[in-house]
Amino acid sequence: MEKIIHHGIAASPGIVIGKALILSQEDFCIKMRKLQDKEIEQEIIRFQEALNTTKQELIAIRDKVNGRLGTKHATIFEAYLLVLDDPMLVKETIAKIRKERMNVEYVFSQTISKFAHVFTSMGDEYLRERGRDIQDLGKRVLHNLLGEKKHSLSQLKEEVIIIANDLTPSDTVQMREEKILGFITNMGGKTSHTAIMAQSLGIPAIVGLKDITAKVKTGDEIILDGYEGIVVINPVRSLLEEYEKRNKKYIEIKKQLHKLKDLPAVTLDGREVQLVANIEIPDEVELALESGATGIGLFRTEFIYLNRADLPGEEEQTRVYRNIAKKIAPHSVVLRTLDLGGDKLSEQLGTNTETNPFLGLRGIRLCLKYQDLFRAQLRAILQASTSGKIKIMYPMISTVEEIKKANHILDQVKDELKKEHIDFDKDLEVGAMIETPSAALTADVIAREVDFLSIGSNDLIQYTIAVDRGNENVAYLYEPLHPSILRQIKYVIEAGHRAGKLVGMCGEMAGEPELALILLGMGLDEFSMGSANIPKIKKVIREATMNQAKGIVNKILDLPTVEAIKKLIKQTHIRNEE
Amino acid sequence: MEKNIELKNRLGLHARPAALFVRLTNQYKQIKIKVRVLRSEEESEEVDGKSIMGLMMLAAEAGSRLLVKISGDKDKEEEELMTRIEELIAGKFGEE
Repeated sequence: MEKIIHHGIAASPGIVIGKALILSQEDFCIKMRKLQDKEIEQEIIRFQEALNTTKQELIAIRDKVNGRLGTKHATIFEAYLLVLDDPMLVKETIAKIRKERMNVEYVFSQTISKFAHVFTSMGDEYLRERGRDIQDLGKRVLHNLLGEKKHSLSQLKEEVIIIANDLTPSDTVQMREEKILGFITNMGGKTSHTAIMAQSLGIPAIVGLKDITAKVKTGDEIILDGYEGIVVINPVRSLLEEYEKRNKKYIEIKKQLHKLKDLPAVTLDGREVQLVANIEIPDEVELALESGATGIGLFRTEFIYLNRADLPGEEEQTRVYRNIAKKIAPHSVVLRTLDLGGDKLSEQLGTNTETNPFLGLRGIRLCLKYQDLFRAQLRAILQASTSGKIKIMYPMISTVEEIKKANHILDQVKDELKKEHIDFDKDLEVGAMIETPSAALTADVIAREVDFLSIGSNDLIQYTIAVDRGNENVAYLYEPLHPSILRQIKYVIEAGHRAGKLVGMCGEMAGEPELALILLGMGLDEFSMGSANIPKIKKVIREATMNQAKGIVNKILDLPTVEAIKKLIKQTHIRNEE
Repeated sequence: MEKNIELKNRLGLHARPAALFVRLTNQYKQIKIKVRVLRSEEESEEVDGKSIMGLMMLAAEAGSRLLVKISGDKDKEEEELMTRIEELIAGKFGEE
């Protein structure tokens, strides 16, 4: 019997049961057919019609992207549209249909492959990528020629689970309001762009299934368990019933949690903390508020810089930041300044690839080297700061000098704006991310230079334990409960508090219900996480006392191993459940 | 009519600049326009200045020189197009 249960990477939680819809990307079966004289003109008309239909599709996507992400992101679709009008492509195809008397599908696919090949064999990586764009474009046209409608995610009639090799940004942009129960992909990891998008949009997802598109057919009944990363194809009735029951339970829990939305995150003995959201794109603010977030603890500004050939201008950035500040007001939003490795901006900055990018030119290091880039961002943030409560946070700090330099540039930019009579928030707070051991162990020194600290636990763990969690050979070493991590977190919080500064955390650790008591007991002031986790953490905090939380912290700090710490946490958990 | 123009924008003839170029040249239906890159080592291929793919295939990077050839039967329009092309390139395609 066919294997019906498949395991992948749980990318976004939730259970859904529904019909599969395969977004096919595989190559077409193109048949060669000799044309009769009288068919030739008809064939050319078919070609022009297919081009027109494809243009309409692209215009629709462009307008959508335009509304969602701004004109800069939509310009790539403008270029696609021009390719469909390109004389090299159109005239050559038509001339060949006449000359070779072959059907349009055959002639066109050959023309497309020829051009795509010219690009994909170029030395420049940017142009090679454009070769793939041309292939994709060709597929769109072929779909329309063959009458195989490419499923537009916006025209779905019934609810489906999307199965695809990979999902492009333009696919995910369309996902939200459509009838999509969840998605399953061959490619991707837990921190891939699509996984993060799915989490923030609250759509269950499983990624990294390698060849799931070959195992499922459109119309198959699918169970998607986004908690465990399990896909079941055409399940037997008993399994279906079990999942339906489980799902009901989850929905019930969700409902209970939703009731907490407007209540503060305060312990039984009166300690209140802030639960705030990490977001990636401005659209996620609504979801954050819906989950009960009292602010945005981390807005990753990178999306503005990626998927484009140029750098974003000051005005464009100001508009994005202003928009978020307005939406989240009266709460605050922490804008993390550009946190990319140089490799991600090689095209725009002319940076080289590094042999060890994780220890290379990234985050604040990149910003201090390419100061024009940094200044433009700071100018944009400052100008937007009149529209709400904005805070700035510098990423990848490893020495206090970096903060001093960054603050010096910030002061210069403020002076510039003053001279230009441009208004900004004079009390704008500045914080440092603590995500390297060197920053953690000098948190007392760093705290003097900033208004707040925010622990970036993901990187702090990677850098402390010296492990790349994306590397499956060593990923087992990645462990938030390693005593070295817990000791550093405790030290950072205490150092921050001694300097009279608030300390937050914006890594995944902050959204783990099992770890919430520990962080609470250590005195963390602000927990920043994916919106979906906020109600769960709130529940833990509202049912705890500071005494209990501190007690746990005292106990685990004495324990020698991760295993012993986990055991203790489990016991506490069971006691709480009872 | 032909002119030798230096590409000054940072990205060279990437998708966006090429798109702007083509959108301009396509406004002149009656005029033929050919473009190639002047490289010392070899003669590059000449492409249709109304073809976005052709322009991108030139792989013209910042600092390279383009030879733009315009032909038609209305001198005034040809001159106008040439001036507008020069302006577009000198203005770095609106990049900063």
